[in-house]
Amino acid sequence: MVSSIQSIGSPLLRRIGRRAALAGLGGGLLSGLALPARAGTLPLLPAALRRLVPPEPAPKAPFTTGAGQTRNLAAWRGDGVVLNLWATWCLPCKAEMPALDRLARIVAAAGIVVLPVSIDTGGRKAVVTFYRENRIAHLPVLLDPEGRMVTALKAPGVPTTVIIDRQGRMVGRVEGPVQWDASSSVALLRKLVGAAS
Amino acid sequence: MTNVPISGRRLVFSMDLRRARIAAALVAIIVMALLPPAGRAAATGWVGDRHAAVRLITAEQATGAMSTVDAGLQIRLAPGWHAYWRTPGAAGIPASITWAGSRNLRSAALSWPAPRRLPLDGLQTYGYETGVVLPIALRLADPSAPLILHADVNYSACKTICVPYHAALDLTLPTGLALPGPEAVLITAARARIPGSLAQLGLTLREADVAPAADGRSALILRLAMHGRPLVHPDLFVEGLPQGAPGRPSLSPSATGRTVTLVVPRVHDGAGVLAGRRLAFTLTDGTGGAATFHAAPRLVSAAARPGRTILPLAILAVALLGGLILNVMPCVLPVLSLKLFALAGLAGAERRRVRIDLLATAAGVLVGFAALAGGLIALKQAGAAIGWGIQFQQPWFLATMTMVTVLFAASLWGWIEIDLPGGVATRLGTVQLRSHSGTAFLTGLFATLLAASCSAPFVGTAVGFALARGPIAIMGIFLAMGLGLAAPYLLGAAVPRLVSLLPRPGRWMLGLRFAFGLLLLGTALWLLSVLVRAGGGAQALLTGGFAAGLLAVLAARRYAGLARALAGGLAGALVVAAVAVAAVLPRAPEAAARQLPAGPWRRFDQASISAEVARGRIVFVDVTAAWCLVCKVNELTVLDRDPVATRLRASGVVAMRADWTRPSPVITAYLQSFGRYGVPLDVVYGPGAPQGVKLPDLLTADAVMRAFAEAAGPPRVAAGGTSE
Repeated sequence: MVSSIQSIGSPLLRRIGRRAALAGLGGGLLSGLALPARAGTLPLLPAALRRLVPPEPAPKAPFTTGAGQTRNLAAWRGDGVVLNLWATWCLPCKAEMPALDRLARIVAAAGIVVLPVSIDTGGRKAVVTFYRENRIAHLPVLLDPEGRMVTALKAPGVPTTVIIDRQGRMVGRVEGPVQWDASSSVALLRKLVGAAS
Repeated sequence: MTNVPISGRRLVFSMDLRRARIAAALVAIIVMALLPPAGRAAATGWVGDRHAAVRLITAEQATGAMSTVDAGLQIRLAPGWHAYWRTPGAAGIPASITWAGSRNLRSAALSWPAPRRLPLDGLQTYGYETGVVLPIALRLADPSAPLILHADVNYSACKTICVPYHAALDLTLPTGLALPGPEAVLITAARARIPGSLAQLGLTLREADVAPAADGRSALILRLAMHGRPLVHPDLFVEGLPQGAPGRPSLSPSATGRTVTLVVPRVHDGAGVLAGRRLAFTLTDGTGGAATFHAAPRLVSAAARPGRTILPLAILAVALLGGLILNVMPCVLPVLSLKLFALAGLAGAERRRVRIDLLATAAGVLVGFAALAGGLIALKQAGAAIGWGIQFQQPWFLATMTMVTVLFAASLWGWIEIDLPGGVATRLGTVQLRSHSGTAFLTGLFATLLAASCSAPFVGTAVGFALARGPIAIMGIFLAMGLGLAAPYLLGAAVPRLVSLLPRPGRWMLGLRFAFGLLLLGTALWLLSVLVRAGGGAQALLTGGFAAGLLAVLAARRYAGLARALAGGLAGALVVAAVAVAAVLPRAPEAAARQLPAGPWRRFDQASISAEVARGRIVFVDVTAAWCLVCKVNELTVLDRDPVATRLRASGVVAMRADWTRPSPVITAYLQSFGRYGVPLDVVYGPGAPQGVKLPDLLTADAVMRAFAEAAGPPRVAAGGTSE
């Protein structure tokens, strides 16, 4: 049987056969993946983001650093900013922190900073302990215990994240946790923030 | 109006009066509506928003000259929102109340009903969904004076975002007759859900230990003796841990069933930190009640963990038998038996080579099973929901294995030139061995993969037993199965003479290969049928379309002329049609799942079981899955036949079916609560057995009818404190 194939078929047909087999396998795999069920990971940014069109001016509310200095968002004009309001008592915030940490490392070279602002009334100590216990290495300690940023952004709860482009305008908003380090999330973030000047 | 006669004028006058009365009533209603909601004795108004709100309630409408008042903080939560227990777990603010500004209040004690587990992405919190009442016991300083309460409540409620709430509640209880208010029933119900003592659940704590685990973590091990009903759905919440917020405990009943060991794995704190530290444990058992107890765990070595107990020989034998049977299952049979026939041709002359080849194949099988066991152990340690058959719940696995089996069917029919694994090439009815031991090893591995895509009797039982235990047991049972599957080849390696007794390959092989190809095609069709239930009709169509198209393309290569043209056209048409129909089909795998099962079967609803039992009914729960052969056997021989079938349809009997064809954390948790990690599982509940009577894997009509009788009988009185 095989020798008859060899006599009929040319090497081309043989190759087609092998390619057909590979295509079949690939097709089978793809059709299995085509309608996937969502597993238990956090939502991706493209699904969770609410675009702000037209963009709104970024809030001017101040917050303090871990060293006690007062800052506001104007200090980061020219960089893209992911401003994340969170608290140590908030489980979804805790769930997305490792992803935010990884995001900070991934996009640092592209001139995008991640600024998590904690509204804990416990202040610096609570945040520093949290960072240490959860091995957060790339995120700054920023505090807003009076909730001025919450009021400025009219945030309904935490985590609330706003994405600010290099011109200092809010271009997107998320309520709830996000899988920030997923490739689709990072790609959308880069696009929203705009190219480096 | 001027033309109305005198009587009409009187009418007008009374209409005026009626209008005036209506107007007065309207004004009164408006005024009352505008008045601030006063704390009517027995309940304040709700303070909060549409997601979460609180109010203060009391059981009586006045103090009644008593020095205690039964009150409660009622938290209302919108669907999907939850509030937290006194120990919230990884994160959360439990409700806290300060009473500054109250008058005549001596003390207030807050109690907590049993919590539920609320996990998110592997992090654990403990709290309440849909709402809760936290009972408060108030003591008055002066029973003869009214009680003026001012409560400042802080708590957090979360869904996808978390919101901190603050509420100021004011309530005044006058003196007077302490008539029960309408909220009294809420407080009583809440008090009933406060965990009691272990004795009330018919349990005694025998041992509390802590053992070191990987990564500087630890495992808490509790051994409880059960005097009354067995635990059904236990969950354990631990308080007093410096850092950890652990997940669900695993449950291992002892051989006699009188004691049960709960193991809380991967507690964040080290064993040295927890040894001797007084911890509070809250054990809940579904609707069966809850208990809180304290214990300081003893430090034990890791070797003392359960799961390292000696395996009963019987289960190893079952695993061996299961492995042996896998040899003849349609997915494994073609690959491995062809291998044997190839060797038959060599025997005599190259005995040594035969031996090495067979040993390499057996080694491949054993390594494959060890890898499977390793994977399951890792998944179990990670806390993933596992069970035998989870591979059949994944659409990608089913789709891939369909394509693989179709491809091999095609190769058996000579339509494609893939070298069969093991370097077995088929030419003109002969089978030649063109391999060395490396390829033979891969054959063994590949056979294991195929074995995982078949289900077989005994395999499910053995694996289910294994997965309820620790890593050593899982590895041992899987290796026993591997031994069973590899047995023919080990036998051949030991006695190569036997191999030479096999019939030499000849032209009769063509017929055999054709039949094997059909077997593989049958397997592919079966996998597609499971895919319909696990992934939806659209997905199965897509995969089936690809497979059929592939077959047609390969057939086109094989045959010439008209047949080729037909086959080629058919290939194109099939693929296009499959894609088109799949795209048009409403993508509703959920709708398929929502279809009601046929016959007397209702959808599985755990929450309603106790309600039905309370009404005096019997509930029969059947957990099944599309791929499970033993389940089919049970259906055909017991469930669909008299006397069981008539009994299931009788009034007073509720038959529930839980379909595990798709991943379902609810059903997985239900299985695990009975210490089971696979299907089938059949349980009978009734007034005589509210916690359920577990039936054996393979059902017999006798066993089922006896369970019905037990469940229908009078409730069993809890036995006295008999020890193991």
